[in-house]
Amino acid sequence: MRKILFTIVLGVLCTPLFANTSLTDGFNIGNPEIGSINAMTFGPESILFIGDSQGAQVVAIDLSTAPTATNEKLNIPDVELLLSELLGADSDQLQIVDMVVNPANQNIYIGAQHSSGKSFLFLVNNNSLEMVPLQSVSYSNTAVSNAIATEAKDRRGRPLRKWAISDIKYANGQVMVSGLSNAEFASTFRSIPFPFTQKQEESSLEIYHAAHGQYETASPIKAFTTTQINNEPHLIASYTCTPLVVFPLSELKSGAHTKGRTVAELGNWNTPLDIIEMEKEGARYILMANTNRALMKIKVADIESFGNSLTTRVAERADTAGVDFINLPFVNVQQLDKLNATEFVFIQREASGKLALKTSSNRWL
Amino acid sequence: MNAQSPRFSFTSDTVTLKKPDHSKESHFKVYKGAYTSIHQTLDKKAILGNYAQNNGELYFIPILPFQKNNRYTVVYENEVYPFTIDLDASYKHLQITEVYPNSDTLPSNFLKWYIQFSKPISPSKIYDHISLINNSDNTTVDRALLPLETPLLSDDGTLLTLWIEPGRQKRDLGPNERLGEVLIPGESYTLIIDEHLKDRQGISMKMNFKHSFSVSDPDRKKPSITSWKLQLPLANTKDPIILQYQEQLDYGSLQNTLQIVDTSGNRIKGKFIIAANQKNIYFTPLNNWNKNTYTLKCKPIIEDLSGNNLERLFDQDITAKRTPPILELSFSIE
Repeated sequence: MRKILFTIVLGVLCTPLFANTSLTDGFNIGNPEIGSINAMTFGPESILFIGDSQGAQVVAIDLSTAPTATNEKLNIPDVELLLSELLGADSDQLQIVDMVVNPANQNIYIGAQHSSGKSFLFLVNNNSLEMVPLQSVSYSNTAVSNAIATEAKDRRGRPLRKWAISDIKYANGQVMVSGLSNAEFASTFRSIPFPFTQKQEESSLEIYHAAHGQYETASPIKAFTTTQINNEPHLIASYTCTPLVVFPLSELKSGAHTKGRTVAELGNWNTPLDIIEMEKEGARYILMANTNRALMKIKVADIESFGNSLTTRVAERADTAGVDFINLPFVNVQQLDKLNATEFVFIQREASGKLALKTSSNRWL
Repeated sequence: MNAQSPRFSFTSDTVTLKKPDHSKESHFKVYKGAYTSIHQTLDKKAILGNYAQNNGELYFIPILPFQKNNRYTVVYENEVYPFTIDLDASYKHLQITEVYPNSDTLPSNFLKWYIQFSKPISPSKIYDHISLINNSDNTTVDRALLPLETPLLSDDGTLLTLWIEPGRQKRDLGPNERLGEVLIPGESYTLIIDEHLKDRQGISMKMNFKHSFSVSDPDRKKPSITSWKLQLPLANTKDPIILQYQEQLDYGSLQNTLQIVDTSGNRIKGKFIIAANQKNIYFTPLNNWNKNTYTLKCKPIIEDLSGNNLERLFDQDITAKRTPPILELSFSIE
């Protein structure tokens, strides 16, 4: 899930100039008061970004001093049972919200939410889960306010409008956050410079989806990642309605009315849950976990050569259209991330009903 | 609460151990489930929590309060004691207090409900408990509602936004073309929220909630405020102004999108109450109305039930000519 490609490129260029500075220089030790963990991603320097809808904030936590977990023979056959035992709650009261890998040390973190609304962060270690306390951490945060002034409040003085964070990524010095509003079907996509400053520098943009050149609708982005397409940094995003559109990052300007270029419709009522990029033998692949489809593989080169299907009707092939994709033999994958150069880690609802954490090698690529 | 052991006592957030041997604190553990021997707990993980001591007693404080009516087991040295924290008999179960809109007829391109609950609901697995039934054959409408990992809940956890699958409501998109619209004109449906939906204490609603409605033709017209009727208060009173609209509007989109200003453009302080199911909005000023002219200002994102807002249609025909929306209404208080 984590794309730090641009940062690495920039980092290499800038290293001699900023050798003694760190992105965590402005961090403070304390309690970030995380209301809910809704989406997570790693940036450089083992910085974990947490999208917190309840607290209306993005929190950056320095996990560089966390010990490296032992993850040999990684396999947790029943993650829900484990969480249920550790938290003393029925599994239907618990939900795994996100799973991310720290690319610096391959530590796997799981965010879980309990029905009380409380969220917990766990580290996968020795095929078990260890709670990561968040009461005293080195962190920095920034508010992601509602796009709309909050005058109307409920009877306890809290705003009724809500912006629920759906995905978060870090690339090129920006934390990018997508979200859904509980009031209107608007798209809000925010890009926040990192390290965070006191100034509100976030840019917020409207994203639309165009169908066949005639109709356009506001389209919230559900899951996304960033990658290089034809040597330009791009966002690969899935809408709540129609999967897989691409945008050049350079077009994502504040206030702009932006339309994504649809590269694939991936079947009825299917929404990608997690999108990652893997490489094998010099070729790059997008892997997507989906709500109602198997894990899908798409060659980035195919997206690059797909051309201009921006708003025109795409020729239908069976149930789907657009670039070629291959269904991999992994169904009901709910969480997905790149573990290292050759493996990915995933959480899968198995036929037995159990939710298992497993890994796979890139032999499928 | 069940009978207390001579050695242990229990509340929903503490297990107390009397007369502990402090060298064996780490032997004091609590497990989810009812067990009768230590052997049965060996392959289980103990519940995470903190330990504290006071007056010679040792406390275990679980990271989450014990779930009511659930079985747990405390273990200390060779003692094993199952326990349950009972639900208070006077417990007020979760209820649905309002559904916006509650109309018995909805357009076929209807987009979302807001469900108001009596108390905060569990954000976990909400969509497992919600379904839409076609009344003609009593079958569940497949893929009718948009499931989200993070449900759209208000900050206080009591207002849930429920989307009809938007891909199927947008003209010319794949899901719409292949599966068609979720709601078919002339048919009738029932929204069901089952009794297993839980509150934040993990306690279920006691009854299924059902809301039936029939479906009319799609609404492909933008709403307009020009048809709103204003019921004006008198000057020198703090009586509310009542804004009465004709077409049902989306409850959520009316939150924070209205304001009243005076002739100098200063915002009038006061409180809006959105009675969306009555098609009324009340604004009560903090200070008396003056004998003067005021202006109601609306944000363009106020929507009807089909996602058409004051400025554009939900699925806007970009080849059609656009007219700027009317967003202000002036009125005089006598």
